[in-house]
Amino acid sequence: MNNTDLGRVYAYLLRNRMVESKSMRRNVSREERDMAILLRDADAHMRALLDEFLDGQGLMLKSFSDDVKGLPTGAISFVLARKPDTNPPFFGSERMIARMQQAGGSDVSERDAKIWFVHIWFILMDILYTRRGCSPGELQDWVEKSFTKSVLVEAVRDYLNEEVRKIDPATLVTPTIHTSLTSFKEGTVAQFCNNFLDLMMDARLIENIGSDLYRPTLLFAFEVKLNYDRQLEPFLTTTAPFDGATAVLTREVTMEESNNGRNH
Amino acid sequence: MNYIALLASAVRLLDLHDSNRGYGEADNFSREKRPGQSDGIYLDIAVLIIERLKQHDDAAYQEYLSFSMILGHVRATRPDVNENDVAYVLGVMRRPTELFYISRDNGAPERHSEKRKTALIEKIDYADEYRLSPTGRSIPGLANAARNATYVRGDAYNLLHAVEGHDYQKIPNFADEIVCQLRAEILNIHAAIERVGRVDTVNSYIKNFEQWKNIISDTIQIVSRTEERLDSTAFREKLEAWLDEDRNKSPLTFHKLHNEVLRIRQVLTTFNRLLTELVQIAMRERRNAVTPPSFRDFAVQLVRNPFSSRVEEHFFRQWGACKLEAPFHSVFDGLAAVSIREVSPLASAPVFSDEVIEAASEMGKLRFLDARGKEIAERLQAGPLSLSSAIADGLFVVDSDVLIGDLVGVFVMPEALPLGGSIEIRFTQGLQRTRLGIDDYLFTDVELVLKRGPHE
Repeated sequence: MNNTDLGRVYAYLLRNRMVESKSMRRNVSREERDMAILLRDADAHMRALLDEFLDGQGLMLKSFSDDVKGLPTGAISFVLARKPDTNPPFFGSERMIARMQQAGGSDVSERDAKIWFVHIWFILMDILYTRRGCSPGELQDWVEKSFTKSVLVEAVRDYLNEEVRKIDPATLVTPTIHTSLTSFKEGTVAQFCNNFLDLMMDARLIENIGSDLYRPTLLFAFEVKLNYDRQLEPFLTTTAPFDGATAVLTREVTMEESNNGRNH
Repeated sequence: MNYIALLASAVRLLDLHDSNRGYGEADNFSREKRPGQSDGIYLDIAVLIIERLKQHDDAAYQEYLSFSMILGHVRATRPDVNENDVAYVLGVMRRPTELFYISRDNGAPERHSEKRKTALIEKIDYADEYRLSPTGRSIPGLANAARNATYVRGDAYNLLHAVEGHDYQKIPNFADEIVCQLRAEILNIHAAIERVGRVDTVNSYIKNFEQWKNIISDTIQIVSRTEERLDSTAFREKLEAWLDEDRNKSPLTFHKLHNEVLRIRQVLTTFNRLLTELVQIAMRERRNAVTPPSFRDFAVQLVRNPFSSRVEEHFFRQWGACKLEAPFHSVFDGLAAVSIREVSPLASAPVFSDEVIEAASEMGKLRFLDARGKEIAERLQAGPLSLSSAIADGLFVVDSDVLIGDLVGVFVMPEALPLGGSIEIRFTQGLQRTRLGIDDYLFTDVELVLKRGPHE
């Protein structure tokens, strides 16, 4: 790989984030195959150079060979993952928000678009990891995590009906999220899920493997494995103590009140 | 004696040694079935014999042990064993076999064979008495070789002693050994961190966490001491002296040795970090407990306590379906973004129209002659006419069209002019230059002269 090839590979990686020499699910373009071969055959010095260069941009190039489940024999796959805490400067979310806004016509604000994306994303994680009893650190099982669109839509509806709608908005400090999640029609929910899947496919995080069958890509599984501990795990635990604290406070107050009542 | 570790690590190498596959043949050639009784009895007898001989070796220096004593020991564990079976096993173990291998000790690869060292026991010639051979004596040691990094401290001491004793050749070997063990252990820890519910592996680290901590800190200390020794001037001087004697053979350099030792410390640090991480995770009883994190619950929390805008922005960049939003545009980005319907041209059969036939005089020279022929003829009747004067008089303009080519054509082929008599064409010397509009014309001037025919 010479410097020109390095530039080509870099530009391709930034645009597509995954390079596979061959695939069982889709046709690999000639350009992509060329890139995979360039990367595979690159001498160690060039690879190290590329790695360091990407590292400076908060990205990490990881290669997988056919000993990873789901890759055909002799295949090699490269993924460009976001490293924790780095916020790669070239990746932006404007397109993502605009696409989510298209779901509900003109009455979806930018704020709504963001809220819906975040919540559908967490429900997707719930389907992929929590329901299957998988640790986010597991990479080898990515192949078996397929789901249909209707499963996602149902899960989101169930989440809205069983969890969100049961929350009394009066108890919330900022009811923005609650309002946003409950103010759209049933049909719009499916549309949000649709656009969400489109976006995820566009970003190469999810792939379509059948008429209505989707699966996270190796890139998705690797990013979750790479970033979960530093990026998500703290969130998942820090909110719980607050909840615990409010529960304790509420109970103490009621006990006090009942004592007072008895005293009077 | 855990001889299985030893066998398991050697058996595939022996398979390769015994392989009958021809070079260049198909790669699926393999012999997966192992011949034999598949009950492990002969192995068991062999191990019992080695144990007995080892005991004897420890008690009496290099003495032989009689067959009956050996048989007695085997029978203590396997009462029903046949005498001939024991004799058979003894026979196999004392017979040497030849192993071929390639060695690169002296640079170029050379084929060697090993026969003498393959016999595990020795038999005295004149009696039925046996003892362990040097190879046999090393079996218990090999089989009991430390299989995890618990004993890495001892290996670090070996390394230190090798440095102190200036046994340069051994330093990379010891260093490699330590790094290999640590790497294997690191992989185990990775596996433990990754897997939900694989409690066994985790427990073995947690229970012995204190011990592990000591091992690591001790080993780091020993390695630091080794580094100090290595950096000392005395060591360098001795190494250089040794390299001078041994220059042609040894590929060692000071930097190589130094790097080997440095590598151990780096691996140790990684090991330490991972081990701490694993134990922390396990102590909090998350991840490794069976339940994975509940993302749905978290989403509910999020309704109550939304992300701050900064965290939200970070979340989108880290986890969102982000795509490249930077000036890396390609001309193909907008390809087929706007679809344009191509209107196919209406197919119609060619039609011959007889109404608009162009008058012949409208075309080319005929048109010019129609318009100017008469005038030119009159001028010629009056006297000679040159091309330059015709151009100067504007004879080439017909209905505001510039027909200079036709004018020149008339001058070159004047037969078409409506004239009686013959015409002489004269050429002038030199080039004429005329400006027409913005163009300059350079030409040899031509002059037409009407000759009166003999009939007039």
